[in-house]
Amino acid sequence: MTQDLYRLIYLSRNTIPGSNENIHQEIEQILAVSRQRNAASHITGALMFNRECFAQVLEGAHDDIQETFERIQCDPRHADVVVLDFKPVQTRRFSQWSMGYIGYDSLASKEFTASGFDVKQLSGERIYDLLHAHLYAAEKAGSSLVKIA
Amino acid sequence: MTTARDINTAMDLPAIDSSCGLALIDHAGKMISVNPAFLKLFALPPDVQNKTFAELTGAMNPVATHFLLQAIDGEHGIVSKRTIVIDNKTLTAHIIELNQAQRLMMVESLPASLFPTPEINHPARTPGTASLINRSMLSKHIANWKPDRSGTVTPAMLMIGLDRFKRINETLGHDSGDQLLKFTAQRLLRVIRSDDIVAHFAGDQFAILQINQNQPVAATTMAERIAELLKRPFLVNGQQVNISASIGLAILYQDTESTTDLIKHAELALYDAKHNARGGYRRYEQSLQQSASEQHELEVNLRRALFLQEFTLFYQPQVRMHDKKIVGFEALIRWEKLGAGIISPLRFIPLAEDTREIHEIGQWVLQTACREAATWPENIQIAVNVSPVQFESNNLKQIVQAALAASGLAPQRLELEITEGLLIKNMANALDQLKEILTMGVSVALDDFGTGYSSLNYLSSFPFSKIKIDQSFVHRMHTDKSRTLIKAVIALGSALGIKTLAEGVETEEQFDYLARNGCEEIQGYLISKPVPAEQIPALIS
Ligand SMILES: Cc1cc2nc3c(=O)[nH]c(=O)nc-3n(C[C@H](O)[C@H](O)[C@H](O)COP(=O)(O)O)c2cc1C
Repeated sequence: MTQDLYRLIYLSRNTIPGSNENIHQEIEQILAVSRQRNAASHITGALMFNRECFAQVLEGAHDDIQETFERIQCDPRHADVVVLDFKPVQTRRFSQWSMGYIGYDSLASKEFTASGFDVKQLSGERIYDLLHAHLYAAEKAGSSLVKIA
Repeated sequence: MTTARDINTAMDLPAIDSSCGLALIDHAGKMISVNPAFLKLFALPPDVQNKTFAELTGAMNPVATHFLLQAIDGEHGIVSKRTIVIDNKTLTAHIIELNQAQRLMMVESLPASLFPTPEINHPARTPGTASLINRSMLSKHIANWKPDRSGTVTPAMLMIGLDRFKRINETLGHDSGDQLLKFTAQRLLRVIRSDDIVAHFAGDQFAILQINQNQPVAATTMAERIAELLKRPFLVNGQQVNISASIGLAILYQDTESTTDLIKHAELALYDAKHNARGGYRRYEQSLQQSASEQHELEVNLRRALFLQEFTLFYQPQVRMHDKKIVGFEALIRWEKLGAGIISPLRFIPLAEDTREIHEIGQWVLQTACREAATWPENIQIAVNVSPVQFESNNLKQIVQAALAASGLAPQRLELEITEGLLIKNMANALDQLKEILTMGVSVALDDFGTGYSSLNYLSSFPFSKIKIDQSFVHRMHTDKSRTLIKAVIALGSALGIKTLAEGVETEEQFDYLARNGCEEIQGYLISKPVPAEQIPALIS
């Protein structure tokens, strides 16, 4: 089981205090560390942020996800982690990204928060598809998002 | 090990100029002599003679202190080997027990690159519980503590117990349990300050000693953070696992007068937290001593009750409404303790479930009820309650089979009563076991219907022989809501071909209403209260 490919999808509540500027800096830092560490443990995935919540997909070997998730779990920058999905998968869908990012001014993020759309009501599958679709769209359009990603 | 012994007698450690650190240590952990490399590896001052490692570095280097304490505390193996990472250096220690009083430790430093494993590359990651010190080592630490001159800081003990850990071990397996413990240890190591010390007590219990912090703020803040952190989901063997932790605090000079009581008081506070603040923390206070000893006494007494034959079964008749004939009895457990009187099942059954004593008690109830029922006329049934916990060891079928075989009771005369709670937790497994039991000819009734999460789903998922309408609805029969529910359950039962029995029937009025609406059986004081076995012949004749 330990080397099998798994996929994790979770949501959490942002607890980074302060201004947008400050939040932005923290997220930059999270992404920088994530990309380095994830690449080293062959983890791919994407992170989405919409001011209140994080949504993240991680793909990789069971044990590598387990280890990475334990680190993420102890991070004081978020709380109320809800695991939506953790299961074996056949293939990676985020293989280009050690940690793709969709920020809060993006269309995808707006879709998460669009009126009447409660993030906690979203299914893992839906988040997964949204993240995937928007990362690809951003890449095609050559938007600045890709540079961060 | 002859070479080691030779070294011992001839050895002049300070003169050995090797890159390998060497130390001769007595059984209490005091250094007898060390070589220069040893001092360098652990950044120790030159004069270490007759001091323990904790005294030398104590708060400054807890990782190394854990490591060395473990090394000298190791059981009486001749050689043991341990590895840790300190300041990006991988240290391997070989400990050789030279004789009763002396150990020789050889410490080598290997460049980190020799170990390309993730553990070593990421020093924050630790191998889990094995790297933590144990209870006796923690006690030594506390005993070594000396008040700080300024007097503003004082040690605090946090005792952390994982809630329902045994249950996780039983349901998910020991491998998952071990992984959970490992991750718990890692989470704790991540939240502590570098001068805190984490210990792994028995099984599901951890302790953190805060040495140099302002109290009570540091301890309560840490307790809150840990409680929150351990509530976050874990990923174990391909699935998500949720647990929680209860925490007990004891702070020296604030809650507790002497260092020797610190562990004990933190444990009492943990005990209180587990019972009254699950998933949160409690601080030690004197009154806990009293209530904990009462609860403890109950636990001890409960453990002895079977042996002392303090349990008896009482039997309450179940009556068919149309001819008012007794068709069966429900077996009800009673605990009468000499000097303490009768202890309510509401009090001791949850405790027995917690301590797993329910397995033996449940088995005894089944055996006794079957044996008793075998002496009754053949058309009289016996109903026995089964706790959800009894399903967790996956051998309920065998226990039922054995009770039937020993008593000679026909399986058709035995009915197990289960509650909805069982189905909520692990429906698939519970249903599998129930189906097996059904194939033996035993029937299964759904008890307390209406009190829980009553769902049609349960009723259609299994061929129950009977639905028991909870007595609270019968007692509230004057309200529209209760009447509606009663009618609905009866209608549902008849639609699904399941018999309905109303519990707690006390008045003729209730009887008439139930009869009019098609309820088939009743149980309650109107017919008879639960009676001891001796009175049964008189009741059925
Ligand atoms: C929402 C969120 C997502 C994160 N995702 C990752 C990730 O994918 N990979 C990673 O290594 N760290 C991630 N981190 C950062 C980790 O929590 C942690 O800070 C980092 O791995 C460094 O861990 P360490 O300081 O224990 O070595 C994330 C943090 C947050 C708040």
